[in-house]
Amino acid sequence: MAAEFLRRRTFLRGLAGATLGLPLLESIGAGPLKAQDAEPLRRFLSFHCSSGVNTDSFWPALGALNSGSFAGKGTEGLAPFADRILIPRGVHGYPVGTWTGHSEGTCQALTAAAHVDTNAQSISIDQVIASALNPEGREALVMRPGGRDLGVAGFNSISYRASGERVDAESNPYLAYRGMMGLAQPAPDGGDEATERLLRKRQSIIDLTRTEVDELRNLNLSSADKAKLDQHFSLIRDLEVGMTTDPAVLSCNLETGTVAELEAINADTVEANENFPTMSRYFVQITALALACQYTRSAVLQWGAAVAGSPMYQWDGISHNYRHHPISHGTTEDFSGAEVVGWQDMLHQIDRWNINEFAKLLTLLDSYDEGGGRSLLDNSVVLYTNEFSHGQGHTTGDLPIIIAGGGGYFRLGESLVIGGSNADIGGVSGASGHSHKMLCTVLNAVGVPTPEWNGGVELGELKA
Amino acid sequence: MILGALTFSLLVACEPSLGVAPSGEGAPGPEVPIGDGDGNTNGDGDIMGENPPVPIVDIEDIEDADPETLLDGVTAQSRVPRLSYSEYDKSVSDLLLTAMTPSALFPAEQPNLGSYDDGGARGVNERLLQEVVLAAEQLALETVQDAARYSLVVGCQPSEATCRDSFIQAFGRRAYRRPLTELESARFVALFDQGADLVASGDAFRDGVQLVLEAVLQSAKFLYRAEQGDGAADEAGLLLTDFEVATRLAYLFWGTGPDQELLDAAAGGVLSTPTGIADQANRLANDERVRDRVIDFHDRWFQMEGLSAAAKDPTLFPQFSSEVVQSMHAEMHAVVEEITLNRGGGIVELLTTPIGAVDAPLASLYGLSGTFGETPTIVDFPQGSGRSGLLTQAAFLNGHSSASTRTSPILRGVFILNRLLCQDIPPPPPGAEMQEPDTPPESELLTTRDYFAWKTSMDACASCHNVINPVGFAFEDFDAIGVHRTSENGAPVDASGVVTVGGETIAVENGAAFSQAIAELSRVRSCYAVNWLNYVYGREESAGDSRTLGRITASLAESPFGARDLLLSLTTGAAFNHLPPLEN
Repeated sequence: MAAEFLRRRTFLRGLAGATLGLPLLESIGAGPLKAQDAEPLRRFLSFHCSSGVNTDSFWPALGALNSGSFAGKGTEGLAPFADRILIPRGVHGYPVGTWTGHSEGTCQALTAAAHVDTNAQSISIDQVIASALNPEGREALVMRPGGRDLGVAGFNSISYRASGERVDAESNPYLAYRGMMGLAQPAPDGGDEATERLLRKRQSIIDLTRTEVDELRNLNLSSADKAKLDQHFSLIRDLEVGMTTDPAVLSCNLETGTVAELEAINADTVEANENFPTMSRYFVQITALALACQYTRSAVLQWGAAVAGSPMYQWDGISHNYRHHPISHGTTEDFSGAEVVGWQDMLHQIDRWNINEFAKLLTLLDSYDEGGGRSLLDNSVVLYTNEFSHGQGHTTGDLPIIIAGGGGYFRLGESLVIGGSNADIGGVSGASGHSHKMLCTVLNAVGVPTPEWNGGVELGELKA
Repeated sequence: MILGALTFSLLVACEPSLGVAPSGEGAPGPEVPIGDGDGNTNGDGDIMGENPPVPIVDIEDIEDADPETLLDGVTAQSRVPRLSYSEYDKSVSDLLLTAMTPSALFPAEQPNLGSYDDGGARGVNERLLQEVVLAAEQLALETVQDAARYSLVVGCQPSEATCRDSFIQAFGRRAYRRPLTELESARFVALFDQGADLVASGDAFRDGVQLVLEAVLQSAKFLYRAEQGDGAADEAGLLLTDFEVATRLAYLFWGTGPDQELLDAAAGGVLSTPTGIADQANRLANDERVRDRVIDFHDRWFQMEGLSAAAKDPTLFPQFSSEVVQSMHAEMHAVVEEITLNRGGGIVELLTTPIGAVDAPLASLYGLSGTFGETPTIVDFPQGSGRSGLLTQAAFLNGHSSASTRTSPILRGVFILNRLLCQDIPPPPPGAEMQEPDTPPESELLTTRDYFAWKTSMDACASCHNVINPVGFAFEDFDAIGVHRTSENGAPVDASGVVTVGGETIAVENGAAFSQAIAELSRVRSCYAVNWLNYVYGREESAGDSRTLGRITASLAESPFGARDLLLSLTTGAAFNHLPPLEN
């Protein structure tokens, strides 16, 4: 119910055609959003890639970062953000060993937990943050441009609402946008009177449907059936609460032209490889808008699925006939096992393309001025993660991690090796991996106090 | 694993990962205490007089048993399954005479029972509820704005004094699949009368209709199919009401709510008897609306969602295109329709009938001469085509592939074992993908078969791959896009092998011979029956289904026993017309 936060507003113009009415903090209404008047409203965004990187060319040198640090690197697109990012090295993930590595790498990204049959055995931090900071009942917004792995559903989303309960990622940007607009879409014609009538009509119908679901849940049912209908009942109640504000003031939306483009999307082809760049562009805009509007304070943008769902990069000057996954192995898909000539260069190109998208997103976030000299980027913790460091070895040692924003919580402008670790992709050492500590630090940075996350405490050296 | 209950232990070399359920010894018969029918509980959730749950047990032997000796019982299941998106769309379409498919805007929902849907495990979330509200608003509005449909949906002259109430009664009965209660009617009447105020189009009657449509379409009583019975019982337990039976019949055969005739039959009390059920079931089975269900089942059974995503290296496979993929899918649909609906065939015929349904792009891929157009034409494959049934057609051969340059014999083999033989194949052991034998191959690996034979030759792999590989290799006489071949990389292909299935060792020469051989197995028939049951009932099979599954297994050996007959069989067991026991 996007209308909740849209009473008083100042208009800002973001990049890429997002028109936005930002709420003043005191108008936001009840709930956790109000509790932090004096504090910036923190948000979390996960940007996850698969298949690892070209580890020889990805990272800038250790130490202080400046725009020159990135020259020629896979991360070169981040040069304008040199003083706004932190690159921790030596963050070792959950060790490969119980599966081929893809499952570990994907399931642990936001959980730092083990998996069973490619189902992470922990809630993920995006959902922890959503449950702490979002309106009740609203999960983190989980999106994935690109295709899916049809064989292993666990490769298609890194978000978990509970141990073993994966959240489906939305691959159609129009549907993600519709979800954001909620019942405020379509905006009613006919001015205040029509709006007022629409609200009264919905109220009357909700009164009726709430009674009906109440009767249904009081039938002779199993406890599982009852729980299901209880949830339905309470969601109707939330619907009612959400409608008490005025949808006519809706302004948290994309420009009409962009909305028309989204409406025109063919749902059957959103996951087609050739549409990956287009869908990515829409998702970047929607992600920024959703965070800026506080539709959600936690979002996940998964950059294609792992393994069979990985993109075949054939755009912006890249033209391979291989999906990212086999290239990252350095082999062709056939049985010869031969190296593809130039596979490292191909990986490097892919890294640069992905990082450029990441940089576009940072640029867009930074274009929203949230007052007090802070942008949306400053008020967000943006976390780049990857399934692996080195795809060929399925290595979860020294994972590529980039933290951006973070509102002064992090020690930005630096690449550092975390204490007791080593910037070595072979550095995985069982339970002494560090991804749980890194996620613990992120949770605290977003404003969700967490003394310990899946056995890991905060990494003090990452903090400013 | 959906087929966990149906555990075949014949392939002992590759142990299923799931434990074998308790054996059938002492499996409870349908000893159901007949309750007083008031549904009262004793206070701790233990329902007095309820049908007790039948445990899931090993039904390994159904294919060879006399069906009439097998258990026929009632299985625990949700009493409020939610409509699937497809069921919602079709129900709405029937109610409002619209061609819209509103669920296209609903948040994506993946199958939750293997490739099938279990509506019992489904409810709503924030996103879905919002979309249901928006869809109801839009559907109601566009219905009242379309004069012709508006008139049909209302069903009486608004000027008649009784029209408001008769519209509410009739529409409510259709949508809720039973007559409205007095309380429900009164609620809708009150809402209807608010039309002039809340919609204010100037036509108060029309506004009332719009409000009622909007409310009904988002009511939980429409979105969920509630089953409660009315206390009536027979020797097998508490019965469903006639309207609940009518609803099951309609969704089973057509995937939508009951039509007027079915509701009238329910109102007339004729669905309380097996004969009454059979009469209506026959009517539904012989209606063309059964086609979509039959096609949809075979699509899901064959996991055809993978077909559209298949990508092939364009330099190796210049014939491959998204158009030809559509042709492949159209062929599969047309062949399934021809065999299971037009010719009354079942799994045996699906595996052995050498026909295709070919359009111009596919004819080129198959190397068929003749004139072909844009729509598929049923053709007999010529001798030497290598084709016999669904497993040798392009849709299957393409749809189970993980590589763009070669075939995926392991995927093909695992699919056939899982889906046609109900043999659960455990996932590969830790790190399997990364491992290779210590010993390099003795000679250059020219064919896909050579490579996988070498790659999986390690001891750790062999126990399962000895089972999987021969099945997959049998289809090596087709390349990655389904073209028949005799050589690969200049080396002759070898699709022969010795397959151990159903306790029998069978030597096969190629994919067609493999298809012919397994079509003889009763296990293939019982596995097909189990898949159908999972799809239609939206749950796993259980011991109580043994007799029904046994009957279908036996009947499938005799032609004609097509999809209509099979669906009819699924309406004859105790599970079909009895109230499911509470799950917990």
